[in-house]
Amino acid sequence: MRASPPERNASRHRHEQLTQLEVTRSLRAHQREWFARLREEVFEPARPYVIGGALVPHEIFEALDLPFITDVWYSGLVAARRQSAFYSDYLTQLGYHEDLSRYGSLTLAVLLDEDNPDRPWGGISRPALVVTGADDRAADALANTSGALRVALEMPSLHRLYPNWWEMSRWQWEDLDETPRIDVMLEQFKELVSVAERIAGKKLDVDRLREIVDRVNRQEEYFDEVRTIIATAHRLPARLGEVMSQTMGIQWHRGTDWALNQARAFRDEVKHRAEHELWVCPNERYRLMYVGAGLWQNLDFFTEFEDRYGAVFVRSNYLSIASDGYLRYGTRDPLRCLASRYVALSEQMHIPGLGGAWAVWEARRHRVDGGVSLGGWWGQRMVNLALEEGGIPVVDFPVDPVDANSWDDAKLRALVSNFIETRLA
Amino acid sequence: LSSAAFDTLHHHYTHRLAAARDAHAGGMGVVGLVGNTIPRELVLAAGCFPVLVSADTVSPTPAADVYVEDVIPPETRALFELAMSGQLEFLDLLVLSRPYAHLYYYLKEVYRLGRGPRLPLLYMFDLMHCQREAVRVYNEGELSAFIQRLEHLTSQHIADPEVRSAVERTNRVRALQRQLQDRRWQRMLSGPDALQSIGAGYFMSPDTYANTLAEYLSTLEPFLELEHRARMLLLSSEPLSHLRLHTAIEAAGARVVAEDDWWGSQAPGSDISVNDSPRAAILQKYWLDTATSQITPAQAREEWFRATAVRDDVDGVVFYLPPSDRQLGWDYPRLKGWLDERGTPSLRLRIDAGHPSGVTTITAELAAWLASLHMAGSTA
Repeated sequence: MRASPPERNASRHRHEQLTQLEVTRSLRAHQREWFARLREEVFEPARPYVIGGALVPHEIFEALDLPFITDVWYSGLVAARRQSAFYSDYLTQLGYHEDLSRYGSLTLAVLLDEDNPDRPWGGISRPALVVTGADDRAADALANTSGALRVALEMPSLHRLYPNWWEMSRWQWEDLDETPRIDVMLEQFKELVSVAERIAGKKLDVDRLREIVDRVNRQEEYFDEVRTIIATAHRLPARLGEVMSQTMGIQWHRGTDWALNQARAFRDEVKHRAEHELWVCPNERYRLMYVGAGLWQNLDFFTEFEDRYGAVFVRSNYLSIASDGYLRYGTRDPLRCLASRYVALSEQMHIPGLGGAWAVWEARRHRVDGGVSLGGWWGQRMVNLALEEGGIPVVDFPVDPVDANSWDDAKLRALVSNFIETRLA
Repeated sequence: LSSAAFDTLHHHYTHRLAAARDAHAGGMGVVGLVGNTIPRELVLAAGCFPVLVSADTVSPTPAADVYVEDVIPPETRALFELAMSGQLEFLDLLVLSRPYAHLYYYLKEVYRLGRGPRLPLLYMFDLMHCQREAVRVYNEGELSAFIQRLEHLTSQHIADPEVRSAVERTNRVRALQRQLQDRRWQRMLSGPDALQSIGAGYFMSPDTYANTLAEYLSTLEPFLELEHRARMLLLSSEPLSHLRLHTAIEAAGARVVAEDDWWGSQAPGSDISVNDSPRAAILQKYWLDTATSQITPAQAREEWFRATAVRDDVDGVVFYLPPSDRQLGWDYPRLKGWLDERGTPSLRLRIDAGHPSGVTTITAELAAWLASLHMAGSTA
């Protein structure tokens, strides 16, 4: 099943109508321009490039001028273009059974579908290097298919669990992340640098890397400001779908001047809207938080409950982890600083105790009335339990973030409507 | 075939905590190990009884259903249930290995919340399995920290002679298990019997186990009934801590001659060197020569499988990818392609053997496949 061109146009038109932020349009334009340039300068002349996971140090590739794309970003693009059901089925046909996660693997599907003329944004070429977590066997398949080098990063487990981890992460990261754990990530990053240098044909300039890491910190500070504005404004100034797209659209280019400027423009626009009381839903009655992986296949779903219930989604993991998970000050040794950033990035949202404490803190900060929690990720039940016991009602949202085969519009709309009517009203 | 020795092995395979409880009753410290990548030699050297902690994945999991998601492997959910039930309360320490890090996090949190009052003391042993030098120092640190934890537990220094002695005891076990595997190839025992004979070793003291296994080996001889069965190599996405899959496959007329799994053929591996520093040798063994699905790169993880699959006395390969599979399925098309190129038949099973009708369905599917290959009731 694949959306037809007219269906895709209709979806695009509706999306355009819902767009409120100018930065959403500038982001979209930049992404298309960037990808077209990538096609012209990298894919077509078969220059080496990197496919990386979300949780790997993109900053290193940036410092080496090595082009890269993020697997989950491209998977999200496939989903946003309503082609995820087709590519999910395609993987199944190739023998990758339907119980395997499709979240990052739609990139593999597109790569394998070489002869299809209708690939999202023209498809991608074979990468020279694939870098993701060690347990990501879809990435193994991707590297194998491409004849690419594979660097699999292994994150050490946590020995000490600090529920209020976000209070330590910016400055006290050596204590939070434990020296031996940072050391082992650092050693792996050194190996990664060595491989990336070979592909890039140049040596890593540590001073340049430090500048990039500092620039990423400044970018995340803008995100932190946006979060504060959203949390404290009288009503919601920016739709969650746009905030999520903006945050991650910038995040995938972190370290570049464009990303920093775009983050500043994002902050400026949200601030302007809050100061001028340009609310998403002037009739705002209920503030909801969204917990879990991004609903990339249908971000407009978050707007569905504004008119009928005055319900707005004010918070997701993405904007909040940008400041609490990414920010690392004290960049004297930038590679070590990165090792700390990535040693548990995202894990904090899952690990029982850590994920729940953060969710409750976030919910209170954002004056949330209830939560919608995407299913299918580990740690979810403990997070939901913490929220419920913290006085925040939660509904399970049983859908895959990217696979349209799991989407039942009427059922999911009824689920959230019923939640609002029975638990929040 | 049954013998007194096998009955003993069967007993301990079935009653998995029995020997540990006896040791506890006798005043010995007992350390539970979750996973096969924790050096039991160090526990022995500390004067404690090491016991593998395992759980049946088909039992109800009411406590896990509250706290642990369905995306977590059934085995981990079952282990959570077991720990929460209080059955492990007698352990002096419960050590969790890296593949079970999630279980550590869940248990730590329910304990913190005061909802797991009967949990034993928990310890995370985080030995990494990527086979690169980058993790060596970290792994050395993990081993040292584990030794210190055991010393703290027992208030005794663990000296090299004790470690070396423990290594000699477990090496004897390994040698006997390798002999058992040889007998298996020689049609002397079925897959389920082999699995029980090997698995019992995780629950018994090494000396008792080695003596029993040696006695059992002495009773084995070629078993005619097994001669004409198609010989299957099994690759599973989850640890084979039960007999259901083997039973289902052998009920179809085949014989599981080997499995790429630490509950079976991959249990012993090579001996631990006794010539070098015993601690360094133990690290070498558990880091680089212990089967686990977490080994990277794939080339290292699949080395044994590929070497075994090309043997002349393997007739086919069975891939077991139940609905809980999240990993092996990504390797399956590639491995199947490799087998196809070599002309080795293979079958992918997606039915959960733990499902009420799982065994019957698997048997039927396998029988039909064997018939299509004209392998039913005869070697290829």
